[in-house]
Amino acid sequence: MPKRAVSFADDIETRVFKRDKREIEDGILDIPMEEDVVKERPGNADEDEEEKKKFHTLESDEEEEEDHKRLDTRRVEGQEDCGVDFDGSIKITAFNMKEDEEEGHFDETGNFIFDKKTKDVQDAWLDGIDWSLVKKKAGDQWEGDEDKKSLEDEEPEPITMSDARKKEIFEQLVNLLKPNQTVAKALSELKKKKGLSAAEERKLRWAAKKAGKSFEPTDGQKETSQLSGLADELISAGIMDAYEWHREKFNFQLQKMISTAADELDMFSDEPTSTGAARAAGAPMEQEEEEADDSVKWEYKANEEAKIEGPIPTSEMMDRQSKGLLSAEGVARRSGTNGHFNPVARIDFELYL
Amino acid sequence: MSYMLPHLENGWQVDQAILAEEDRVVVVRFGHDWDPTCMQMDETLFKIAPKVKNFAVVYLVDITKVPDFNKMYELYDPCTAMFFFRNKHIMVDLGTGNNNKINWAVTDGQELIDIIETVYRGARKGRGLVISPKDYSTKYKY
Repeated sequence: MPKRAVSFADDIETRVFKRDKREIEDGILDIPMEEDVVKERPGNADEDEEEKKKFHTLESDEEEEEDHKRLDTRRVEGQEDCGVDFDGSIKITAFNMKEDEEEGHFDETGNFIFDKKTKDVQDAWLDGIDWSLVKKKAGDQWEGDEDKKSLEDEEPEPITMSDARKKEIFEQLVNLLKPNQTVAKALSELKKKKGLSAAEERKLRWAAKKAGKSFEPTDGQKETSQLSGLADELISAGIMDAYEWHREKFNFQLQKMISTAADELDMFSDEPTSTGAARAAGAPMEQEEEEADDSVKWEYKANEEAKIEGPIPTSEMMDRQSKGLLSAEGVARRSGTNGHFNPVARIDFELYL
Repeated sequence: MSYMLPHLENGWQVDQAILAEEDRVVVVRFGHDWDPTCMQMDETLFKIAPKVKNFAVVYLVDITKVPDFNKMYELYDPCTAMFFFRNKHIMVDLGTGNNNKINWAVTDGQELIDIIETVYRGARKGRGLVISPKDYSTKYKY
């Protein structure tokens, strides 16, 4: 905006306005009316600016209104300047308030008031707080951005992906990925195969453009964009670690969706469906994948001599813990580890979610 | 077993080892290879290193050759193990009152794996302090 660029050195001003005129004549720029006014009376603009400055001095901006009067310590009698800072190794504190006044001031009744800190206090613990969890735990108790919340409620909800679309994406990814390959790995392998750096590719594209041809993306590029497109879609649907998922995990999720869908559809059919059969055949494999699925289960004993309960999923253990249903001598271990039982009081189940 | 584990020979290497690891816990054992306590600890570390390689990496530091950290980390025990994640020191509530480090030899591999895993899971969730599954207050006597 030319108006903001106005400097009150004469030569610059004229140049700016000249350009404005030309641009208006050429019809290049749509300059708002305001500009025209400025152009017509540049002298007035000067005055306005001056006036503004009177009200908005640096000091008037920074000074905060105080509800008390400051005590002028210069008028307090009996203060003495510091003669020596040290007497040998002993530090001498002068009989005056200079040091204190660096950090604050006195009000007229003599109370010391610290100045507001300009520098933020750094605190490792405070930085480490996961506020989202705190708010979640606090639930209704959480006060504060109440208004904001109600506003947010009115906003359209984040797009939730339909299961059908999810299934489609999973299917495509299972086809695209090699066994035991994550999306991220697949992408980097494709890049390697292409053997071109980003800069080289850009050059090629530029050359093609210059020659008047459209740059044909190779198969690898198509695949890359397809893969990243699918993964991005999953991320926006709330699967934040989609890039890190293996083909097996996609497959597992896919099978799960198919099987639940089958359960819903064929709940009462006597015939074993094809998916059902596949599920039965793939049962042990599924078990394996469940472990890879990070869903940790626990074996729990109410005390050392008690019978082992479980396996209990982590979420349930967390639930029991928060409700105080786990006994004080309760011990638990991860199922499948055959290790020691550790006191439940020391286990932070939240970490295993 | 210390000769089977990677040693860090100077302060710069220690810093780099801690800095460079992006998503694994860095376990650093400060001490001396010839020290009996360290020997026990190294034995355990060596045993578990392959098992935890997906989420942790183990280094040994000779505190005589590399005295740079002795003051900062108060390394006056014969054997000290500390945990770092993304250049941040992770504290572990071991029940001993010293959450900064393990300053004895852990002889049970599974226990150490459990501790390292807890550190890893906690640190990934942004915790600076995690609780070790086992309470060492009764076992460890002064």
